[in-house]
Amino acid sequence: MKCVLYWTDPRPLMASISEYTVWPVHRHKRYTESGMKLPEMPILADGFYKVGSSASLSFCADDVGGESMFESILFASGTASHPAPAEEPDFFHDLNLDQLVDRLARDHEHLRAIWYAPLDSVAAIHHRHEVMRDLQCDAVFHSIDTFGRGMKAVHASLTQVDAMYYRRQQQSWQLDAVKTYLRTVESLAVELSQVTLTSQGLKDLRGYLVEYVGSERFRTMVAETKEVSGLLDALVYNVVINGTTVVVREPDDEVDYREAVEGVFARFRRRPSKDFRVTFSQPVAMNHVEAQILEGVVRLYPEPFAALAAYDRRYRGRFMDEPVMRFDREIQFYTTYRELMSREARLGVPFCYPDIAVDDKAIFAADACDVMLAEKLAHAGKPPVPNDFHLEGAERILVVSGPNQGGKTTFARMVGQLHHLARLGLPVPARQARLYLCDHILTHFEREEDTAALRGKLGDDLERLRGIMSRAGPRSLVLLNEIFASTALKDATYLGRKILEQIMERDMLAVIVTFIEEWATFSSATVSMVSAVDPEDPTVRTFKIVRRPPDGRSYAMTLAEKYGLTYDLVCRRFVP
Amino acid sequence: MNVFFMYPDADFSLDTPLPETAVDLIVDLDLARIFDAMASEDPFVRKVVERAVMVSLHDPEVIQYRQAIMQDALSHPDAVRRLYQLASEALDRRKRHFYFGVTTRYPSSILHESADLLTTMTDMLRQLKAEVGRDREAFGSPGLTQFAAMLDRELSDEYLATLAHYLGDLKQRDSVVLRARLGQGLKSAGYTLLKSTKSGRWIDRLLRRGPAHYSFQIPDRDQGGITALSEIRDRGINEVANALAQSAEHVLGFFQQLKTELAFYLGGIHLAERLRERGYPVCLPDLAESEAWRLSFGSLRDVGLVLSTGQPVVGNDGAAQDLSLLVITGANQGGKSTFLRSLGQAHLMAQAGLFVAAEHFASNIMAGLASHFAREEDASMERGKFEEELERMSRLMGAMRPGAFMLWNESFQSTNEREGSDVAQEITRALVDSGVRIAFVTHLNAYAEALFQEHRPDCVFLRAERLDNGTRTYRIVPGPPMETSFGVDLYQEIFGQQHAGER
Repeated sequence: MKCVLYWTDPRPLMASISEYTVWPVHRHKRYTESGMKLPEMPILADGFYKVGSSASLSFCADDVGGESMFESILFASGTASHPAPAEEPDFFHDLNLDQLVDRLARDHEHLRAIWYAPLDSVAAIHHRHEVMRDLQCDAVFHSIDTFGRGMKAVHASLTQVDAMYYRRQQQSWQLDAVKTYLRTVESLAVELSQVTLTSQGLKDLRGYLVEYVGSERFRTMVAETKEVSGLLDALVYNVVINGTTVVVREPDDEVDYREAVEGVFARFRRRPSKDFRVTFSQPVAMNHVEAQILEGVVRLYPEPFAALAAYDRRYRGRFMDEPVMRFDREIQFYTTYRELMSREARLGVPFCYPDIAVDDKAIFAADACDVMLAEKLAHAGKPPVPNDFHLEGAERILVVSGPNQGGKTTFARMVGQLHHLARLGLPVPARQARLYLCDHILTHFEREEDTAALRGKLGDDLERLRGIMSRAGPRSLVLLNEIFASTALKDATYLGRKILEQIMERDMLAVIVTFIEEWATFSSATVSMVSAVDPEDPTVRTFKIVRRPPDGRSYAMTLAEKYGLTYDLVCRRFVP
Repeated sequence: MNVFFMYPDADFSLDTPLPETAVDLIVDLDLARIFDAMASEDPFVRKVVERAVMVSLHDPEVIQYRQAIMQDALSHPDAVRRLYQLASEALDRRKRHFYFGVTTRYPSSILHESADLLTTMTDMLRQLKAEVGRDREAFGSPGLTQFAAMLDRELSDEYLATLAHYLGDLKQRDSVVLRARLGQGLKSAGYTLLKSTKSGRWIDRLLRRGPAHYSFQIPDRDQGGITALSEIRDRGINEVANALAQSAEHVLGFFQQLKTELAFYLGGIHLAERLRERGYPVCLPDLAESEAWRLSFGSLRDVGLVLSTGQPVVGNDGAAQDLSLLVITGANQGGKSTFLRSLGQAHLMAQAGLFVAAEHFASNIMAGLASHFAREEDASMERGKFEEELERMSRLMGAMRPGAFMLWNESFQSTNEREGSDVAQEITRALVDSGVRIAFVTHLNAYAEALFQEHRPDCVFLRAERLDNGTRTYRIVPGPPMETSFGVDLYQEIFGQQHAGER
């Protein structure tokens, strides 16, 4: 028997489905209501139709079927997974990426290593871009999100299996776990078959799932699970308590006492009343009285419990599929980040898929934000101030100067974040961006705790810089924030010059935040950027970092005037 | 079961928000004094009358409905007092059931407390039915007649007996029959208390049924088991206990509603008695719904003033047709504000279904009422005061609709007369053209004079009466605006002739 179903997409592609196939009833209804002819199909379970034995089902999807290769959603098929560093990279703390990962991997510890491991090819990055693009389709994301929730519930049930003392309770939780697992996997297979996918990663997954869900083992599991649950759900019994005697027996002709009471007093019923119900704690485990009551139920109705025991022997500890499990773990890398994106998008932070520069260093970003700052500001409901930057030709180094608290550090951090996010294959918080695929991101940020010990600090600074320079190569990105801030100006200027020379010598990309404006005009490789102030009121910080020559002392003078501290104003105070 | 003394088909609610104009009205029209008199030291009555007076009615049928009950109440004040007493007593009884409504972990105690309380309430219902039955022949209003009929219908002897049976059954439960099904982890869930439809003791029935049961006993020393068992029992009772406790609340709610709605009429009785003691007439007003405003009153008095002074209070008479704007001018301390207040009070009381302190009173149902009184502290020409006045006026405008009525007392006098007059003219013109009615007490002579010259038919000018010999009668009579105010008089009166002469 062959049964072909069409819907909106007129490109049918055959998927071999074994004994049963799945077809959601609501969709069937929608198509029949719109006048489309569909074959009569018996309902299988939970809103799915059975499409006959050995039926072929035509999916709208363009590529269901064929060899189902699926290993990892994070890496292109066939490529070995990347060795991930176990340790958090040094620059994570300086760039606040440690906070980001803490937030996104809070419930997903296995994802940390992925956050630490940059991709090293454009192809690998595009693989993830494609998956993320698919996930930005609400329908796809919803399916994946539902799946993730379902798998979480499966694991929660399995935790209960281990926690239970009574054998029958273990069996019941095991049944729940399988039930949830089957429903979750099957829904994902069905839902993915109804959407258009572009990423190879998700297409591979879909092919694999359709095959898996159609497999005999899976279908048998579905049927047996349904049968056992049905038997148990149908049980209704009476519990009679008289003093310390308990009787479990079959139901008789009785009415719900609550309804009787409500009926008698109905004429007094007025506006909704207070709820007097007592809330009981709901421990998962039974006490011995509950266990005895259950034994009574077992005596009255032995068959369902025998079926449950047999079912449990068959499936305990062996019902889950490894590739499906792995997908569940790995897809969270995308979904957690997607949630962050939509959170920040609501604030008005744009996200884009950056172009990846490999052979040149012409980089730029428009309306870019510090991703972690946006997270923090999300509570206040306001977006961070976006900033732009670009480097072209021989330009390699952004030298950021200007008034303090004006967003310079945030800017440097942002450039670093953008590059790390880009090489993880993730969209970046910017309207548009082209970013360099760097091998190392090296940072030296002034740390607050350092400033106390001035003595020996210059030595430490230089020591750390030497360490950075020893690892940095032509493909590295270096971010230096307020180095030599507590060094004598003459020393700082000299040392800075030396560091800049090294950076230029190796053709590295760099962002240098400093109060030493001379660095900004050091060579054709340096570009000056300045934290801008509001021209109307110089005390207002705009958090804008703009590309222009250093301001000189004008800002400081304006502020001084405002506070009556210019030469003239101070003199006038002393005039009677 | 409904009380429906305030509306033919709805409950009166103390939670109805007051209109935004209420705060100003209460201060400007001296209403607190009136509410206090209506309360006669019962704070609950005060709460009810304040809400009832401030939330005006706009439906003539509802106004008549309340007027009819008010008529009954004024004719049979003792009947209203007794019913109010009975409702209060029922609510007091609830307090004796100390544990009722106290948060507890035990549905069995909720069940017991509720059943006890309901037994008491059943008795109170019986008394209520008897009390109302006694007076029903004297009542002429549809509201009270229907209430009596409703009690007969809903509280039949048979029904009261059923209540007693249920309460008795629930109080004497030694064993419980629960229904359950398997929940998560095979724990029994959804415990529901059952009422057997068969007679006979459960144990006999059980034994008759043969083998389809399984029983076990918790040993006496198994304290944990006994606790666990009583929790299962409580889970089963939970829903019934809730239903019973809610029923108790509902019965109490009925008495609460009865007390609330009677409080309004009791307040009316108190106030009428105070006015009659002084020999001042009260009447049920005649309110028209028509578009044209017709106003007519005889011996209209400021109730607040009557309540605050032992001196005789002058009543005013007047009548006008197709009215839009009342402009009242004249000497200070001549009774202008008093008159304006009496007019506002009369409209508020009338639209609450109350009587009015007058021999007769006819007006229209106003779509809203607002007062804009210059406050004592506003009278100076300080910068900002005028702005405050405008701001307040603009806020009041938001609550006004065509057919609404505004009472202005010396508005816009915090700036110079020219500016104040111009503003007043702009605003009154706009309002009158929009169908809002205004009574305006003013010293803005430029304004009043200009308006008078227009000879508008919808504009009536009144004046504080001043006899030829210079004495003030405190009466408000028809008359054109006067060029001068009578501040000189007042000054003379207070400071004496000499000082005034220096002016």
